Amino acid sequence: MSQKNERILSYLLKSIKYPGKQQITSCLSRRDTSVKKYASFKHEEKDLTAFLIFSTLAILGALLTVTARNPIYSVLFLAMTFLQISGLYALLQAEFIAIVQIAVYAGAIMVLFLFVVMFLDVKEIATEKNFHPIAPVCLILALVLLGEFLVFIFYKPSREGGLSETVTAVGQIYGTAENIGRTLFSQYLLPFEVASILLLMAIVGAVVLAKR
Amino acid sequence: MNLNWTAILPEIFITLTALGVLGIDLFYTRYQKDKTLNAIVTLSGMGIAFLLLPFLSAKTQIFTSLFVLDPLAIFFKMVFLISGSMTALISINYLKMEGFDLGEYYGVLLFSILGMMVMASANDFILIYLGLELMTVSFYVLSGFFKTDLRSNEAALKYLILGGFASALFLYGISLLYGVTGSTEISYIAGYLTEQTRTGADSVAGVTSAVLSHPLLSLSLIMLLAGLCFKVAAVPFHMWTPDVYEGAPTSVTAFMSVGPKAAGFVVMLRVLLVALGALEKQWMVILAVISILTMTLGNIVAIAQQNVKRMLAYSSIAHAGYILLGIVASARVLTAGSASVVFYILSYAFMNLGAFTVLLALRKEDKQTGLMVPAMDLEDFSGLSKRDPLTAFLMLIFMFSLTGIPPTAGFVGKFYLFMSAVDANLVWLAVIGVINSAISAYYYLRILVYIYMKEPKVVQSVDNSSSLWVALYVMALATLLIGILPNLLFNVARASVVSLF
Repeated sequence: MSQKNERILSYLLKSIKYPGKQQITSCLSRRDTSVKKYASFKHEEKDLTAFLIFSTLAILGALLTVTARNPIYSVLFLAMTFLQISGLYALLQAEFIAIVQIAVYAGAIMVLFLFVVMFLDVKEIATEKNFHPIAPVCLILALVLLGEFLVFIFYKPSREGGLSETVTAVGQIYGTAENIGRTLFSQYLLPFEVASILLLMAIVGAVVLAKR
Repeated sequence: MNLNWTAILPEIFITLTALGVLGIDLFYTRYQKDKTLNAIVTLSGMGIAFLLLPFLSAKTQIFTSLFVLDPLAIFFKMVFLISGSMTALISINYLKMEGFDLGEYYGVLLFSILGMMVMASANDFILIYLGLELMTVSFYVLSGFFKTDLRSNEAALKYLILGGFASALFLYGISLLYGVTGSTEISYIAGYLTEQTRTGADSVAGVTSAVLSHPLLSLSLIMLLAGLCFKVAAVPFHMWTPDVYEGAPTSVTAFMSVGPKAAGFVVMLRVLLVALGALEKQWMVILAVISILTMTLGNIVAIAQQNVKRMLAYSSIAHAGYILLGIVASARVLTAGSASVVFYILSYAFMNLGAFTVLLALRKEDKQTGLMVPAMDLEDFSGLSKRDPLTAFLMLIFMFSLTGIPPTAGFVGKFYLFMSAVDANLVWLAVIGVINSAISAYYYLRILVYIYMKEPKVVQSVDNSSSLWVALYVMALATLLIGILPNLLFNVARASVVSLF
């Protein structure tokens, strides 16, 4: 193993311990292209094609969710959107989140939605075309928000020292279940416990409000 | 990992007590007539946690510095535990009278306090968010606790939907901040941004660093502020407050107007003064505008209310405005400003809980059914001084304190707040605060006019359970004592914030 590879490996190991910090960025120079290639996401052509497919289908699914008249179709299109988004996560090396996305959103939450739709026995929604009088205002606000986000995405700082340097390049093992589990039970032990109490509280609350 | 478990002992204790309270219902419910045992266990749990706090070594960081126990956290945990135990005391008889004497009430109450305590100690945005959620989810349940009451259902649903929206905004702000700085830890973000300020100042004089002027940072600041302003009920994120406060059980409303507000402000102190201290020029302007809007709208709309509970809801909005004024001032005078904020929150906790407790204790006869129902309207207070002079006098103390008339806690608290604004060269802001206090005198004193100068219109009765009166006496005494001997508490408040910087 070459010296450079050893160095990279040691940085990656550091990233296991403190994935939240900028351990790697501070060490990896932006100009060191070979290192960057190794450590950052592989935005190669193959990935770009996959990204385009996933994101196009995700947007399409979201649009169809809103426009579908039959609520069952609407829910199924939402499931499609969730699946595409989990594909996007997988592209970003976040395997764990990708799987959780499918299990929790496409699995549990979709079943819940379908259950509610069937429970309420919603047929087709009345197809009236008259909009609420406030709709144009909403449209303008949405466009302003979209514009703002575009500005933030394409904003380039005028001089050196901008955000681009602070974006952390993460390794390939960053998003694995092993890495997340290790972090969750070491550095983020306390938030993990608080989250468990939060869930207990939610269960108790649901029972209190639902029981006769 | 080096763990100093003692620092988190109060939280562990509250958790165990909450589980114990839930356990009593599970195993012991056959042997008890009512839920007094749950309340006693709750109160003793909170009492022990309260007594533990002064003995813990301040300035401890555990869990890789996610959890920090500094004097500020200790002070706020005491505020939460005091207001929480007052709430438990006033709830005992109230729940029985309203027919919802369920043991889970105390468990959920303890969980909400646990959430606030975690928020007070959190040195990491992830922990802040989890504490915030634990607190708010508990309050969703508590505000809908009167299941058969439609207003209570409406309150819970409204709070759930709008609260979820605010939490999402807050979380979005956290993720953007993480994107900009590369960490969620408050002290790390503070160090990083300060470093950026320094490098920016070195290279070109007067030009801030590219990171500090980046729009993403401003966007995250705005989103964090929106989430926090919702929790403290500041304009324009106050829409939920009157409806939720009115619909929720009065004991819950009393706690809701104090606990989450105090927790929101301690997070605001940490986030704005420590983590985003480098951005003070940006947030100062935003908060000054929000503060003025909050004070003015809260006070002016409160004048129009005939329902006392709703009026107190608007008054609590106005008080959030006063406290925000102190935070704006502490951008320039760090210690004095934040000390006055901390001081005012404790004074406000006592006087506001007291006012709500009098409202909760007062009942009137329903003309149609002949049953005693909670008194809500201004008319129901008329002639109270003739029927029950003691309750009337206690209401007088709380109303004087909320207005800011000496010798009460409210006067001293407002004095420190406005003085810190003057010290910070924000005289105009202090003037607006004083004008608002003058406006607020109208509707606070109007209640006293009804109590002392009008003839009784309805048959009134006052809850005379001992637990409620213990709480009432404690709060009235505290309101007066803070007003007469403010220096003692102010020194504690000052000492608690000094450690922040």
